[in-house]
Amino acid sequence: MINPVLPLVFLLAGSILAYALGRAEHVFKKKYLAAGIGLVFFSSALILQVLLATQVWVNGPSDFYIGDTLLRMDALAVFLGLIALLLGTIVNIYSIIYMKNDAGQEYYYTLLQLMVAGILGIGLATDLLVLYLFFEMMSIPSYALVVFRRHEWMAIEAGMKYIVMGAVGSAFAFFGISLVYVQTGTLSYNGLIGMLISTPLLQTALLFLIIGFGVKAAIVPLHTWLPDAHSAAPSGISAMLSGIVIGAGFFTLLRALLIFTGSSLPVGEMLIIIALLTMSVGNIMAYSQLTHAQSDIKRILAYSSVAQMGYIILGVGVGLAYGIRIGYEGGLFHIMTHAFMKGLAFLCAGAIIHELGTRYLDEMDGIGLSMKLTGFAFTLSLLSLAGVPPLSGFMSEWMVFSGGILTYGVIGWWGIAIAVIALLNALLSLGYYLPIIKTLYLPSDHKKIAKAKDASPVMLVAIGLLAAFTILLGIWPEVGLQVVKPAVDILMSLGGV
Amino acid sequence: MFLDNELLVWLCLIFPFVGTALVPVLARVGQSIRTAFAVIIGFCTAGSVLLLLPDIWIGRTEGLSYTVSWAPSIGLVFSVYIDPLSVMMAAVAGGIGSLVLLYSVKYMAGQEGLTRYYALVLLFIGSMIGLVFVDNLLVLYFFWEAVGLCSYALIGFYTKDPKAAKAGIKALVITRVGDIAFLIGIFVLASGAMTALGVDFWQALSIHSLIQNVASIPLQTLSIAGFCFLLGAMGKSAQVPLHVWLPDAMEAPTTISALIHAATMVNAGVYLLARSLPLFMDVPYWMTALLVVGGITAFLAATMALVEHDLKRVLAYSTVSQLGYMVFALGLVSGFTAATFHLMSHAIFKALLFLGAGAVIHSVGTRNMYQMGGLKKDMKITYLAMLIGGLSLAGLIPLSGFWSKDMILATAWETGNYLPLLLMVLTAILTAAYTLRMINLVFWGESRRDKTAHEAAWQMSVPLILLAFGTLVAWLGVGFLSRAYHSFDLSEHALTLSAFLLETFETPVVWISIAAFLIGLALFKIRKQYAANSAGEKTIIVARNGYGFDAFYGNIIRCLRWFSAQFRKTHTGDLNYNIVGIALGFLLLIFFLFLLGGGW
Amino acid sequence: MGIEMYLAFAVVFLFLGLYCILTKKSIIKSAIGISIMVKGGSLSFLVAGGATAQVAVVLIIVIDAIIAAVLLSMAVNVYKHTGRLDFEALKRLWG
Repeated sequence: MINPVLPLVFLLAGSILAYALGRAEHVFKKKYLAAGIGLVFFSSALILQVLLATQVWVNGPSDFYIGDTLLRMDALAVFLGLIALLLGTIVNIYSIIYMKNDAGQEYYYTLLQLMVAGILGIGLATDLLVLYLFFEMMSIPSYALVVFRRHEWMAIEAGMKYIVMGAVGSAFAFFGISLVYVQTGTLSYNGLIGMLISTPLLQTALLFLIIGFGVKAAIVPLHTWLPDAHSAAPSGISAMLSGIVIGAGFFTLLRALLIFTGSSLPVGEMLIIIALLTMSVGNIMAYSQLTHAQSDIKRILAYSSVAQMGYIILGVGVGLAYGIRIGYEGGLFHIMTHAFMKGLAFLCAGAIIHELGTRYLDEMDGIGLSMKLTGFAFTLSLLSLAGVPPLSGFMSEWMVFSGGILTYGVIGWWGIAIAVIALLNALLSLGYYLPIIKTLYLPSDHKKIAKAKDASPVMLVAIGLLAAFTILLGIWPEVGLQVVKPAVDILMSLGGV
Repeated sequence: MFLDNELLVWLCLIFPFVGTALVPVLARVGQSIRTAFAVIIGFCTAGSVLLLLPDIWIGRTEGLSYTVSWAPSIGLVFSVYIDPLSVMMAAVAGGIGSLVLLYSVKYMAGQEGLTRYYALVLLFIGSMIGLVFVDNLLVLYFFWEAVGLCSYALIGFYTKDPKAAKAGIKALVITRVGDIAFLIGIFVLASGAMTALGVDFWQALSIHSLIQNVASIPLQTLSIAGFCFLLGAMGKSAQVPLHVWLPDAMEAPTTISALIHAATMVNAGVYLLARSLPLFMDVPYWMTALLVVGGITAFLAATMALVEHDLKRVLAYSTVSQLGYMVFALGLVSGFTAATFHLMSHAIFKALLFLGAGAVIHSVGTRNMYQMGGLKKDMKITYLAMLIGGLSLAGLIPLSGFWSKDMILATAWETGNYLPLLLMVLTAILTAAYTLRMINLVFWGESRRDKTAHEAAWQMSVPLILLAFGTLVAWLGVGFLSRAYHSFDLSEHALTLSAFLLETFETPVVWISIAAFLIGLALFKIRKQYAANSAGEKTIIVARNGYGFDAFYGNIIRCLRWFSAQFRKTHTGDLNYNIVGIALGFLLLIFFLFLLGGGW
Repeated sequence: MGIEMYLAFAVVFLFLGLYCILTKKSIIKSAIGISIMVKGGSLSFLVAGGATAQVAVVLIIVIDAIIAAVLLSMAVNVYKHTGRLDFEALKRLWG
């Protein structure tokens, strides 16, 4: 039996060691020490998490007590942990080269591991306060990582907005938790799930919780920090933020909302409306990036993350509201596929920016012709995001849409309206994904572009791994659904809200 | 048979996909090995389908059906159901696919990015065969989108040409409009069937079992789904008003135009309608909608083909028009055989025409017909092949195009749809006229070229000869086709070849068909006088502009861009406004809470 | 005073803080606003009382301090870049 907190402990230990060795890099004039430690601890935590996963799927959840506080690794936690650790490991590999010339290696890998540790903890928590604690453990390193390159104006401005909005959100969430406590006198899921009834205090708590955790989940209109932060961060961090941190933010929200199970509050329906709003605004804003000169490629991807969050929330929303299983499956599976494909997109964009020294799309004409592998992987990720088979994005997106339309059986034409909005969004999203691909392969006589070389082998390993996942989950979704299914079983067993 | 049916079915699907995966690997070994491998895989696929064909067509009453698990966690299964229609479609995809691959060896030689080309063509062939083989609507949708992806990537194959990239995007986006409707239709159907039949989600997606239980599905569900499917088919099969992508798709290499945009993918919509015909037959106005859409498309596209000066675009409009014929035929009660028969014969002669056009373009170096002329002497084989194909399109007895088109007209006659019949006869006249105009501009008369032409190489002429042969004899298979349909309960009549001939000449329509060809010939003769006339000139300009459809879509895009540019201003980047967003979100949530009936 | 009264105070704290961030351009004032907001949450926890509440309040004080520290260190960098300490200068990223 493996202790359920072992991966978490590994990452915490790794973060301390990474700091120490990062300092030692200066002393011994050696490179890659902190990065190496990060990689070792990430990959060993990942292996542990995989072992834990098989253990949890076979024997059920495994518990660990710290004093009175229960930490539990259930299938939902396994789901979140596996994605976070996998993406974390890959980003760590990528950062070895990508970040090698940056000062402050000791901070970078420490914060990266702390952030992933926070995500693991979000899965492990079994009461709202611990959930909040780990949520902050994820958020605070992410603030610091966004401003990691503090000599860049963009990073500072984005980080400043991010931290203020994040802190406001946290305060809201904390207040919401306090209201739940005032009403019930307990904060543990076990004491709350199925026990709550609809009272004004709890309705207020619901609002505060959605707003509070919603800031991190980038729901519209709380999303305004995201395009700044995700495009200003170093690309590896962008991949983490877009890939899993907003997903984990939503996961936190979901965990918090699950306590309202059985309280007859319209939680799921609210999520559906939020989802439609989120995807529409995200897509329109992403599309609007192309309407002006000098569109920032990472900003387009960042807005696309907002839109993709909409799909995730829609899937989970219909699951929560109407108990539609494929909605849950689609939503959670989309968290997974989005982590890999958006991670891939950011890593590729990062590699291109790294090589060309520009982040503007119109200065990238034909880069796919000189950076063949990177360009190909980027194309894959964009097609996958656009929901084109046989890539993973198609699989998860149609599951979400099918969840949306199956509400037709419950709410009639409204169900079709939901699906139409969602699908029109998917159509609009082609309007900005495809032009990026087009730009990648336009002919160009620019010398800089003709001379550009593919990313270094180490970075290509990271890109290749994510590309492999993006294809694999498309043609053989079973691999991912194996992880999703037990998680959905838990959600379904809780019943509707 | 020599081989187990099940094995053959899987081989049809496995060959192209394995080929796709291996092409990039073999490209590392050597260019010619890669090319040879792709061609061989193409022929292996075609061989597997053709071996399957006799068994399904002769003496069977039940389709082949096999199942493998795909994603057991969510219950997704990969189930195939193969009947005469699907195997015919697959034979077209595999057969023409392999010929196109052979043709490409010479035609595409020396281009950049051939590995991508061959991998995508094989992926396309596999997806197309998958599309017609599968029974599960969602898996069908998977392949439906996959062929769309291949089409998009291959239209944009010449990456150096910005027009090609744009055309690819246009094709993908416009067919996506239809696909959205299609997907909604699928789920509405599944959702309705789940409750009506008491089956689970995945069983409710099986076309075969849906058709068997169609009587118990509520009419409302069927109506929504039926019209959604029609929209989907209109996107894929380029029916008015979603036809605008197909002419632009001619930026693709000509081989791709022949394979994807004439012979196979564009037929997917017709296939879908034919396949789901038993489901929606009783939906009010559905059949009428098919008649209207098909009729208008056939006519409008024919007029546009008449005034086009780009050789490939003429063929593209002609394809749109012929697809209109098929949709029209499906809209007639009992037009199933006629529609699919026309699908088959059209696939063959249109692929022939495109490959012929490819040979011409390859040798002349332009697509503008006004810069060709007099090629009859220089390219004898190509000329003969294209003449056969063209006359088949124009409807000259006894080429296959004549028989299938006549069958559609005859069905319209028998079912008493005289007014639509008139429109279709008019279209037939136009068809003869534009075909002759095309042949005339390209092959007859004086040379207007600045370059000497040369005959195509054997890799190019062999497919041409084979397809020309097919155009001459394909109609002889109508007896098998119709009896196979009958034994599968897809159509009411079973005809032998002789009965078919007898029946054809018993109805007066055959004379109308022949007359249409002759009138078309006459129309071609007087074309110059018409164009000189001022009213004629105006209509020509309107038709050249594609009746303003492109302009209309352009305006939609412009509106969208304007709106999103305005909307962008709401994201001020001022932190105070960002916080206003949070406060606003809070108020919105309160509003939703009251709206949804959970308020204080 | 009844429990509702305390809760009303807590809500007032929360929205006072929000108002501060909403209207003030200064980074320091925003930091103060965040602290006020958090105090609202602490107060509401304290209303309910009990061991969990104590833990929660101590926890939030620590977290608040960390956030404030990170925020202020960013503010230093803002000052280095712009020479001032308000959000007026941070409006380059928009749309």
